[in-house]
Amino acid sequence: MNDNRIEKHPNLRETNSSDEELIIDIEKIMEEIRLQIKNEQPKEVVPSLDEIPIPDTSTHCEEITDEEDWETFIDSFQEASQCYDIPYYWELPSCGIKKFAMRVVRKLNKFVLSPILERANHFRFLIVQCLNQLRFFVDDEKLRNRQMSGTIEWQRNEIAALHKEIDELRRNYTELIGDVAALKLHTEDNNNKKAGCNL
Amino acid sequence: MKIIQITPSLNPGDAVGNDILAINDYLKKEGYQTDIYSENIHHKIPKGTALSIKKLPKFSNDDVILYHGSIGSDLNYKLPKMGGKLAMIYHNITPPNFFALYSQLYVDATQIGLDGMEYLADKISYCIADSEFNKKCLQELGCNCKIDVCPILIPFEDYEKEPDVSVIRKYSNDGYTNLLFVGRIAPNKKQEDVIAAFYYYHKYYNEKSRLFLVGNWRGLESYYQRLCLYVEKLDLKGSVIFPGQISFSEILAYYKIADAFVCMSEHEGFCVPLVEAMFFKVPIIAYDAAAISETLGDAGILLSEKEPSIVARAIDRIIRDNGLRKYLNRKSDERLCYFSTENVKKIFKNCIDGLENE
Repeated sequence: MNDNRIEKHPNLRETNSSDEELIIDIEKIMEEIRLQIKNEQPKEVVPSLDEIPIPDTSTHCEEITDEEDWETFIDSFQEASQCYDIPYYWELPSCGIKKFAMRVVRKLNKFVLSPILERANHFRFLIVQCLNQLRFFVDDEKLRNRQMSGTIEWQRNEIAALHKEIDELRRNYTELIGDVAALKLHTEDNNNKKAGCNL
Repeated sequence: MKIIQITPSLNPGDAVGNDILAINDYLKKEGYQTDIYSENIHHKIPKGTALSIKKLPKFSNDDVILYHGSIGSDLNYKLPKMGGKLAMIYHNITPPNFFALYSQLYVDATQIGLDGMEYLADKISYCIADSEFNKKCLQELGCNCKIDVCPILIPFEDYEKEPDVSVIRKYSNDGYTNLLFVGRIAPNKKQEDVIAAFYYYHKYYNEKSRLFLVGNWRGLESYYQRLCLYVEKLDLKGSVIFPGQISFSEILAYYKIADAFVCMSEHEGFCVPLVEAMFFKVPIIAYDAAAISETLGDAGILLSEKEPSIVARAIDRIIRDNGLRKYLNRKSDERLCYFSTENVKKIFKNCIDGLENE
């Protein structure tokens, strides 16, 4: 430990180049360091974190599909957020000597039970907090899904309309092809007739 | 004028929680009528300090809602409909892409947060940002109102409390150099870059060294496990220590035993641990990203690169050069004056005056 931070490190050679100077040019020190490193033979390339595969820590979560399940979840969460903090001195149900004895026992055990309860309360608080965040997350996902299903529905309608349009175009195209063929035939006939007249 | 602070979550010990409580004290002392409302109140917050969001009263037009924007919450969508003058203190939201490899939940949560902020952006009449960086982020989200910068109020008196003796006993006076980084184990904090630099330092400069990565990894277990595998691959098991979620007195102890603070984080809205390191006179080496340079000022070595060989040599220099450490200590003291409670309160007062005039 270095209380004044100026003590000598026992295992290190010490430099004291600028001890008396009032101003030290840190940029100059860094330039020196960069130059030294540049002039040295490169020692090694330190492996990068990219060489380490990402460990899989994901856990499987079952999707909430039933709206009723979600309501139960919200109800339970609301109840949990109201009562996660359990006080050490709760109301004792009995009365008289029995209550007095219970109070004495509770007082005597306080030094053991109170820190445990405090930690348990903290743990419960964290769980409630997580649930709250999860609730927002799920709500957000549900909203996104709703928007997505709306978009999908709209896209389906669009596709159906486009299909209709294609069918119409196909029909028109077939009719047009027929007309063109008839026209061709008619033109050929006319040409033949003209040729016959000329002969 | 009544000033109501609203936050999705109020926890003791975290930067936002401390800021809210300190602002509450300040506003009360200044004679303002004020209250805190939160969706989630940690059970360690003394009863009566904050009220449940369900108990929110109706606001008059003169009332000011001071919303602490930090995580995704449906409050972002509810608040504009509640009346009153809506102002925000923006603590920043980590970009979702940092979490893409590790947690879809975090990606979604941060994205919801950013979407919420975007929704709020044109509905806020005034904003306070913890840093110029946060101010820029807010403007990028479409916020056109007046934004003032006011650092987080840090409860320095808490740092005077007794550190955990067992940690100090275990890791001090054994000839080892202790490197430290404090912050949630999260991909945006880039703990892997600290490990890479430490690997180089440990191997080529000082094998009697240790690295403590203090912070909890809840929700980002896959990132933490990947870091553990990385530590194993680099043969640093036993030299890189993840203490996990620890008590405040233990955090104080780690600062006490630290010889250097190494931060390679790529996204910080403010970075309170830098100020803590300054307070405990731990020399700082930090990568220049997000709000880091603003918070650090000239009280540490600011790096423009992450090349492990360069970071390791900078660590070695800071450990061995007494003159440099003395100089950085002095600079840290100067920097701490800016973050002192009196100064931040003065800045905050100007913000509140500005808010009244808005």
